[in-house]
Amino acid sequence: MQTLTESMFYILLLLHKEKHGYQIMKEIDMMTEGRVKIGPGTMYSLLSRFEKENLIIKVSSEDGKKVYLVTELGKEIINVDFRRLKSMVKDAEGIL
Amino acid sequence: MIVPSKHMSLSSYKNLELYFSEMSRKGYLIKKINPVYFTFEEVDSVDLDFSVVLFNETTEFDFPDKENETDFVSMAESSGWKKNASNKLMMIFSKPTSLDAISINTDDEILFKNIKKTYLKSEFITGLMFLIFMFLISGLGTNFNYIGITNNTFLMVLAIPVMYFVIVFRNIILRMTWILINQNRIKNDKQIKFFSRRVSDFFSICSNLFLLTMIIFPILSIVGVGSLITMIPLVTTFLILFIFRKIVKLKKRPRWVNFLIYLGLIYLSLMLTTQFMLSPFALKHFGGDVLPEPEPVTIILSNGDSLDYVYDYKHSSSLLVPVTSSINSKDIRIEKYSALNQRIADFIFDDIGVYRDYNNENIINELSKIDWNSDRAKKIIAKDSITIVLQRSKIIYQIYIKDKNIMVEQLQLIIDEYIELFKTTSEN
Repeated sequence: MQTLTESMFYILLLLHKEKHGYQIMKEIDMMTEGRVKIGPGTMYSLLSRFEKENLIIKVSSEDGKKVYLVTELGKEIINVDFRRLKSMVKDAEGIL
Repeated sequence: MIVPSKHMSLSSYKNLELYFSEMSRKGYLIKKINPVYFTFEEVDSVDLDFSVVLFNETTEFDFPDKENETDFVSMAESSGWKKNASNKLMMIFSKPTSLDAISINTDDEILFKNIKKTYLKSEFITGLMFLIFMFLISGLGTNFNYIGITNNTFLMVLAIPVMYFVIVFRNIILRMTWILINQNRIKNDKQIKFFSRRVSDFFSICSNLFLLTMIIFPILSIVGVGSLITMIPLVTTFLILFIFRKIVKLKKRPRWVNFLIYLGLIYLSLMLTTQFMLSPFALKHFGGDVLPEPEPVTIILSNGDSLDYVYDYKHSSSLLVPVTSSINSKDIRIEKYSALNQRIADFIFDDIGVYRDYNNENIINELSKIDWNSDRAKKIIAKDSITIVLQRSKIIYQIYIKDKNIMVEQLQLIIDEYIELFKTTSEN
């Protein structure tokens, strides 16, 4: 897995609680105040990819909507990225 | 309203969005899509934005995944899009232009990966399936020799190289080029570039013209309407894919089982295709003759001897050599090839004796065309037989003589008597 993009980061972050695709889209939009927008096509592709890479797991299906949850591997990946981002922020704060 | 489909390739499908918008403004809303035609429903003129999405999660060998499809459609519909139509490869969504809904694809890199994945799972794999079929079918045909051109299966071989080229060019080279160009663009943070409507139309016209020019026109012009029989393997291929897709959809099975089913269908269709192409029906309807039963005949020769022989017919090419018949007696066997034109007759004459049904040690001697009352004549001396080959205009006589010690003058007389039998029997 390469470094997470912004979209990937938010999807994995929000999947610490069970959610379906559209819920994730809405929550990312709200959380980032519209800065990060993910269309349904992109969301679907990312969720499929994460599921194949065992970063998330389908836990149930409600009215044809798949509900996902992040796996231990997914948590590890986002934690690594979180630490990377934190150290970047720290480095930047020392200069800016 | 039904109109021919267009812009259906992976390298230009985004042009459909503008096209469907224009049609909806004219009062036609897209209702059904397939590779051949679009069906529009007449509605009041409406301003709609369209989004054409590639959605192909499975290969030809997999059971369709409805759960993923429902999940995706539900996500798109929750975002304000409405599904209008879909086929195995694409989904068409629309929304009122006035509605501020998020685009279905918001990341070009992901969109590009999706197109690439779809290509590998659809056009590429279908192309390979076609190639496998064509390869197996070409194994049925004979080599480029006189036996081959007197058999209908040869016609398949004639069309196959062109079909190979079309499939490899359209499904592989063209698409791969587009993928490589865009891979480079994505790497350089540029947007995906689809072929414009004009370029897409150009490719479509070119490939259709190419098919006409390379397959239909030359074959038609050389050998006539009956050449359409060469299209049978192609039609069979489409039929097999159609049946195979239906079977795959029936029940969920492992991929390898579906692959075995596909191979089984190919085998079955090869058998049926061959049987059909050699059938009296095909021979009749594509310009050939229905084969009569072998006909035993006894005649009295000019020297008073009686001769028993069988006037026989065999399956022949319905196009290049419409009539092949033979006379068999205890001393002699004559094959008569009535070729479609002089060039084909010349080819048969030149090839007899060269092809592998004679052993390599045979000697070919040219004979006097005056002595043999023919346009061309030759003698093939093999280990245990002699064959005389005569060409009289578009007709070739291949005469096997079982008695190697027969005198030339005697032979000429006998052959003339026998050749006369063909005429007599034909007149009868």
